[in-house]
Amino acid sequence: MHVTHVSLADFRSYESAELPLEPGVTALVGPNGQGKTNLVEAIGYVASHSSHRVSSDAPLVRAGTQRAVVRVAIQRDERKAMVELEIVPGGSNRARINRSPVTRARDALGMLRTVLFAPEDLAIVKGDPDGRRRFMDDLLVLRAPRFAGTRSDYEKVLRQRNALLKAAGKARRAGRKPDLSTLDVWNTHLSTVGADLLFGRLYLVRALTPLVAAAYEQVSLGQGTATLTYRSTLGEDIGGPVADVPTQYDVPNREILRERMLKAMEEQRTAELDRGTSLVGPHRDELLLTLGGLPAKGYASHGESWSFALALRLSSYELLRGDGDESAEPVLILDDVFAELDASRRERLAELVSGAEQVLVTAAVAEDVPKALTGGRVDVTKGSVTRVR
Amino acid sequence: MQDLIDELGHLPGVGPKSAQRIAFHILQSDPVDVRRLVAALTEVIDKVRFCVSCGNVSAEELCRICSDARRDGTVLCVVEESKDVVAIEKTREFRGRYHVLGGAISPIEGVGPDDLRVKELVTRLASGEVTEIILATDPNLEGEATATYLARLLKPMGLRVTRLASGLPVGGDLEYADELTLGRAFEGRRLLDV
Repeated sequence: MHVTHVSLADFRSYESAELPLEPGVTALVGPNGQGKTNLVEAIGYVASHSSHRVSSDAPLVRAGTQRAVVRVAIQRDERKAMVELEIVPGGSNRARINRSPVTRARDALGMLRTVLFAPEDLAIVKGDPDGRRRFMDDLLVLRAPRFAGTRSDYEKVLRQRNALLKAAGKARRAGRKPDLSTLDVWNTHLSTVGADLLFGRLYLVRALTPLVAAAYEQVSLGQGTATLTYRSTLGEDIGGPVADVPTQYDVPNREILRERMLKAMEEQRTAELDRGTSLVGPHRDELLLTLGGLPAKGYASHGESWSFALALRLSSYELLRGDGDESAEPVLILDDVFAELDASRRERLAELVSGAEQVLVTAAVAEDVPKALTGGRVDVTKGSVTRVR
Repeated sequence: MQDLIDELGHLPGVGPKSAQRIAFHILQSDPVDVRRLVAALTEVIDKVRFCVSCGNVSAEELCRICSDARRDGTVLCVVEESKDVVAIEKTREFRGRYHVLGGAISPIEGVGPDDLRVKELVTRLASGEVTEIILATDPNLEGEATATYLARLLKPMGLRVTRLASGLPVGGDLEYADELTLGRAFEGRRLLDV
């Protein structure tokens, strides 16, 4: 698939902008702070309903306005589709597909698929587990949009359960008897939704692991083996590979995962009350990234960390591309990444993505875009967008 | 004038703009109409209270539904709010009695079973007249949690506990149903007796 047109209204610095796009490579070039990233961020938002730069939606709306609108025209084989997303911070977003409104904005997920490379990706490798969980869940939703519901349900149940544990812990410390009569009810709900999310993640990691290993080898020219291991709070035996063969393991079914989670909550009950928060479940799980048997976080060099981050994104692209027919191929977005990379990684990344159906690159100067990626060029200066070729 | 606008603005579904419109409308209306509104408001405060049995809004000690002898006393429908009673009554499908909880379990808002009319429900069931409980709480997270809680509480009492069905809207198209609703409809499918 590829994007044929983007229009923005009150998005970030843009009062309005129109950008027609072609398949193949397009470089968006302009000095810093002129609005290149805002354009690709908008496209990424339509695909994932979240920004790669900020966690809240408020900065996406132009100062002094209440809502932003992003409209994207998509071509998938011969079919054309138009997705319009109205971003309302503090409220619920609204979406329209081919000009007809849909009940919930998340019904529009899956219309556009993108894989976005950005300087922030380094934090997936070097940062907190939270970033790696978000990486998994974002990819899971891109692959199977129904998980957007699972993810938001899980967060809701978790907030309720945590509120209960916190109140109970407070009562206990004050010498009163805590009210735990509804804890079992929240355990039931949390384990049902949690098992579904965990199931999705385990399948994802299993499919992604060999692709990450292959991508790392290509990016680093065979310098070491990259592995993913899902480490669950439900126990080491869930989600771990058998011995040294990363793909040889079975994912337990949802019912088993649900029972394991209920059991784990039972075992952790005292600790959970002491801490006043939920200690088991997908929200505390970790995706372990290892390089030649050592954790990438803390052990890998800056260059190796970048190779790993690129491998995660490249393997995401491969995974999405391999789903179903050719039209499922996602749009690749490379936001300011070339400036971060050394010459050899730059060239190899360019080679690996040059064959994609559509690649959008942002760069401060045209020289940052490798020769292998020649194509259209759009200049972005002070919020005005001009196609140069 | 500003006091009136502020007071109106506290009402649900009324924003500052609407509050201003209503306030100016009242100002320009016939004083007789306005007095009638004032009288209606005063009467609500003075006379309307909650039924001692079911918790629904009522003018008497016992509400119209609880005191109606033609109602089936063996079936009890548990709802969150009085407005849910109004909605179910409109269907004319249900001939039993109600029990209004006054909300749903939500630890975030500090609402637990003790803050709802759960004790009153258990007391009501002690007489043994009720044989079926229909749990008609909202089909959202808090409503579902409340239903699960009540089902577990009431099951040992040997009652038939049922939950309202979730699924496809009547008169709609299957293709327009969202995945969650369609999934629920599959779970709750029933045998077609022909």
